[in-house]
Amino acid sequence: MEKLVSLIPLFPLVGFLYITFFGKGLSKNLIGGIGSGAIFLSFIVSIAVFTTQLHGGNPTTVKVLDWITAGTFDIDIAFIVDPLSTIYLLFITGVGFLIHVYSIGYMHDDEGFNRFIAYLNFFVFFMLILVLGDSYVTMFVGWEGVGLCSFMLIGFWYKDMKNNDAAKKAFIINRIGDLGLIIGMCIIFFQTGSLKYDELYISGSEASSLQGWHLHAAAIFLFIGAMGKSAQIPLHTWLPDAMAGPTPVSALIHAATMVTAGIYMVARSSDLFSASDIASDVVTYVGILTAILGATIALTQNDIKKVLAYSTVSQLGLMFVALGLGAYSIAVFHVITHAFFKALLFLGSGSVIHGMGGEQDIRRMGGLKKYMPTTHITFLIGTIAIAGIPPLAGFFSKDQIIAVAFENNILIFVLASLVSALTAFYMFRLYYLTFHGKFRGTHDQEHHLHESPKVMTIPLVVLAGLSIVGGFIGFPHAVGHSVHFPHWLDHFLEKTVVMPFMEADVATESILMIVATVIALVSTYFAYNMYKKNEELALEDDEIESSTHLTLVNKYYIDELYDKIIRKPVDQLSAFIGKFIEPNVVDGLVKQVSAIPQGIGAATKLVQNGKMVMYILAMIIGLIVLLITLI
Amino acid sequence: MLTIALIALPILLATVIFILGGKAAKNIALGGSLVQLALTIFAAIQLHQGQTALLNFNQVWMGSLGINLAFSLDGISIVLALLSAVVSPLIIYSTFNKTLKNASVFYGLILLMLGSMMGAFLAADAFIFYIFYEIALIPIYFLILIWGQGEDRAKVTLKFFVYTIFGSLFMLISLLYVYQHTTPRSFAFDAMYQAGQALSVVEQGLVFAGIFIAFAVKMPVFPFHTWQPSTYQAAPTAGTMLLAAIMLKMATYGLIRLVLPMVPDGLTEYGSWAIGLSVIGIVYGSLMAIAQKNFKLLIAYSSIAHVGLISAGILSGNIQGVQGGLFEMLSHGILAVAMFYVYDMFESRLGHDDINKMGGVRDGHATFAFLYFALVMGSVALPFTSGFVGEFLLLIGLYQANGWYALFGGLTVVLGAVYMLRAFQKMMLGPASAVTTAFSPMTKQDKIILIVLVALVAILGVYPDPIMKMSNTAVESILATIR
Amino acid sequence: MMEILPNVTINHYLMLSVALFTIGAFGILFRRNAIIMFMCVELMLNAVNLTLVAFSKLWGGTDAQVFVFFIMVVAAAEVAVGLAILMMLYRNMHTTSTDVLDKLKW
Repeated sequence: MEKLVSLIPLFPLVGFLYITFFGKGLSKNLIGGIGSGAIFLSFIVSIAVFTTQLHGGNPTTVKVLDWITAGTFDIDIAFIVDPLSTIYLLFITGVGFLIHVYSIGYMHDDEGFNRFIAYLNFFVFFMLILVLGDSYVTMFVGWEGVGLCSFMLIGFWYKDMKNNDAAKKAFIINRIGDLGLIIGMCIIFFQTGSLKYDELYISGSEASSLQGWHLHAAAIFLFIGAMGKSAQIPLHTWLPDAMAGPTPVSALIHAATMVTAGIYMVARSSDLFSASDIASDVVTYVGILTAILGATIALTQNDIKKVLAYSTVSQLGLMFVALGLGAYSIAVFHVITHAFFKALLFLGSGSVIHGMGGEQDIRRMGGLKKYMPTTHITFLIGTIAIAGIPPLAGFFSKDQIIAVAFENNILIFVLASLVSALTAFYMFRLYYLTFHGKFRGTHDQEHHLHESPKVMTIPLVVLAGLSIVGGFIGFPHAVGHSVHFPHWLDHFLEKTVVMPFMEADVATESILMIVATVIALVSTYFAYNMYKKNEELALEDDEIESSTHLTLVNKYYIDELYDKIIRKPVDQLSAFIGKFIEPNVVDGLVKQVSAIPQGIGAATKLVQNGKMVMYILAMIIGLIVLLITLI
Repeated sequence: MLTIALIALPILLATVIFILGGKAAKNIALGGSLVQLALTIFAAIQLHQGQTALLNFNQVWMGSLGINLAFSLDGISIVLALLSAVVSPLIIYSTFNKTLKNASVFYGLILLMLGSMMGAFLAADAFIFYIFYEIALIPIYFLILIWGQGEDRAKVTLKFFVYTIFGSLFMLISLLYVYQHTTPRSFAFDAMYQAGQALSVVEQGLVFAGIFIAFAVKMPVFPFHTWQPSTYQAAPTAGTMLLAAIMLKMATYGLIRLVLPMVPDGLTEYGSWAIGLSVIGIVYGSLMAIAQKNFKLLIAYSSIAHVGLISAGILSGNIQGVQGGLFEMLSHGILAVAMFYVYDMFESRLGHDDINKMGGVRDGHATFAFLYFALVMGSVALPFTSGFVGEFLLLIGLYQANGWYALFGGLTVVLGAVYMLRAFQKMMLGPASAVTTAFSPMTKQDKIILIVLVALVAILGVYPDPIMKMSNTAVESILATIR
Repeated sequence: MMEILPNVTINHYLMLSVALFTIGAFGILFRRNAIIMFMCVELMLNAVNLTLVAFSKLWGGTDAQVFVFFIMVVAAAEVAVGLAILMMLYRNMHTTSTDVLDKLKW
């Protein structure tokens, strides 16, 4: 049964190749069918493979191909089947399938339709390689591959240079993270002689050979990789810009799957991270800082997708908080619920943008609920889910992160609760400004407004359903025990992921749940007060007076800062080297050396004056001198 | 015998072409290089099956000096032999759309060069290696001088020629010094290894310095690289391809053949300056590439960065580094040909290679964009392209020498993406423009060459294992001679 | 030879040879006409030839005489090439004076 696993990435790959090379002239519906069909097949197989794990199958690896051999460095293309990878498989193919279907509707009028579906398939292929790889190197294949697809899809509308710049930025910042990941792999390989998970972690003995600073350095460098991919401070700036891509891309890549690769990697390395307290602290603090940064910026953004993007940044931060505190399974739990509701929100926003004819500014929206009822309802469900209001998915996962924080570190707990409150606030701000009040766009837009076609709304409905029930896979212990619904996910993952975190007892957990709910509700009420009744608040943007507000609108000026301290200096340095160092110093040295024989030549060439007599005289004198010295 | 055939075939064909001349020259050259490819593949199969009878050749030449005409093909040589055999038909074919004066001489010189480079890769005797290493200079000198571009190419070629010859002299001195310590006197690699390893550490360090300077000029490694960009620019595209794809590999190959097993102690004790220079070269080359606006120069500088990484990885002296270096040579050779071909497509269509004056080509040239993008991904070392396998192993190897080297050298991962993507974006993306219409569709020749190259990049990236396994044992045995 | 001229010793031959050689050398040094210089060169060659033959006779070997034949052949070849060059020079430059013919320099 596990052998089937190699089929899972094969379907999307075949889909990609088929559409790329033979897709010309096929109808759009057929292309869409092939694309989503491929993912659906993967989904079916994933369920089958998942079932084996569910029924207590042991983690196995399935080898596909010998890949790299260099002495002891021996990496195959092989897939690992264990609880962690299979659960990722499920939601990647599941959510991926829905987004493919949605794309058929969303991209229907785009001239690059074939290309789009092909790229999406290609992305899923790499994402599956990422989670299936049995070693860091194989994972890295997927890791870079999804970066590539992200690049291609952000810059999908390549005629607009702004999109291309965003794509390039994403790729390069990710590359910085990748360098960290490579160095991390170097350290691990140098110290242990292996990069395969089963040799490093499951057999247990090898991980201990990483000790001292090597251990911490390895973990921190791996985390730098995760920072890049999962948009953590200071490498987060690419994600909001990545919204330049078509909305299904934002949903699939920049919310549900790719950006959670960092969490996957850290969870995969849980042995390593749990052994290194320093690295775990770094993860925690970077995570919480990112969460706060994302949440605060999201408060002021007016682009519907930017709000969601910063919300993603912030939620990813929370996931890293969980990882840093050792609650690996909870982080994965939040990844899954987040995939459901964030994909839903992005697709919902896509539906809105579709209906608005490309408009993304929420100041031009308002009152959409009567035009787009399905979108409205599903978006509301997503909003409730992310805001952490029970019993929707987001509540359970987020609440558990906060509970773990409470047990471990009060400061983190306070900050995480703050993030949670901010989340509820900005999400409801977004919701009210978009769907309530009166329409603020142009007359043409109002005329154009319509509900999206079925092919787009059905995925919304399915995702909304998942956002409602998704939380129950990780029902908290405290409450779970009393209702005979144990924390299923924890048990499922315990084979692959270490679980060192401290559990809250039933009473504490119950109280915390209530507190979290209250926070979310209060926050929602504030948003309701401010935006439902007084929608003018959203419009006063061009003359912002408060400097805090201005800082937030400008995203803490981090982009400008990077521009100043990194991009410009690098450009100037290369210009300086090119204009000065290269011709004058390096080549100057060469010229100096070559000047020596030239000088000697210039001085001595005068002897050869063309007068034959002189030559003969010299010859005879030389002969005489030679004779005298020899005798 | 097979080894001799591999060297003699192109040289004989070159003579035939010189004598016959005429229009058939290019077809003879192409056919010959394809036969060469077939022979090399046959040799690879022989090697794979462990039948080495045909692969070794040893004939006394100057017996009193201990110089033998010795050639042998092992797991290391075969990688380079395959590279030149695969790349040369493409290089020759890439010139088919050009009208060249004295075409027969042109193709003859290319074949001559291939023969001599093959000789250097297959030599099992230091003297023979040196001779072929130097002979290769002569054809390329004339190729650039006669068919090159730019008014000052005579000056540029002279600089190139004198610089490399000057560097080689240091190697000659080093080789003679080691030769002095062989008993009985012999230039055979094995004898040289023994004699070299018996030298004191300081002597080894000096011998290493001499050899490295020669190779550093050829590769080129910072700060010996200043001949390279101007030469690449002056050379006809086929010449640049030969230089970048194969010729500089003689130097990196030499590092594996002559440095690692001959002066291992000198390398470990006194070799860090060389690794340091190579690592500086990686960053320096990348930064220079960022500053370029001419595509050809951009590739030239990126080549310096890549070669710096190869050199540093090999000099770190562990199996990952050497294996990575070998594979990266293969990959870099293929990608260099591909990139210079892309350059040529732009140059011949637009009449310039200033990337700031391009843009929008992608529109209506989807296939070309796809192929070019695949090549860009190859040169930024994305997994499942050939570039990744080599670069990753090199970094792993380099880390074992020193973590800081790997960190700095690894900057190529980031900076490479910066300059390659910038170039791709400026050349291909953006709204359709006058450039788009000036860029005529790909010809059949363009398609064949680029598709073959992209396929090679992809195949080597996904399934490098046959080649890696072939070189693995040979590299292991070379490294085993070190203590 | 020695039988015919019993009083003539090796020293005489050598002295004559030196005289011829010196005349040739000074001729080359002080004359400007290329043809005369050329003749002087021949003179010097013949001086050497004389020495070789003289010693050959003295020691009774034949090696030196073989050398002489070689030198004569080479000299003849030289004359053929050299005079041809001088002819060409004269045709083009209308002179054979070495003071004028000094173009071949740095």
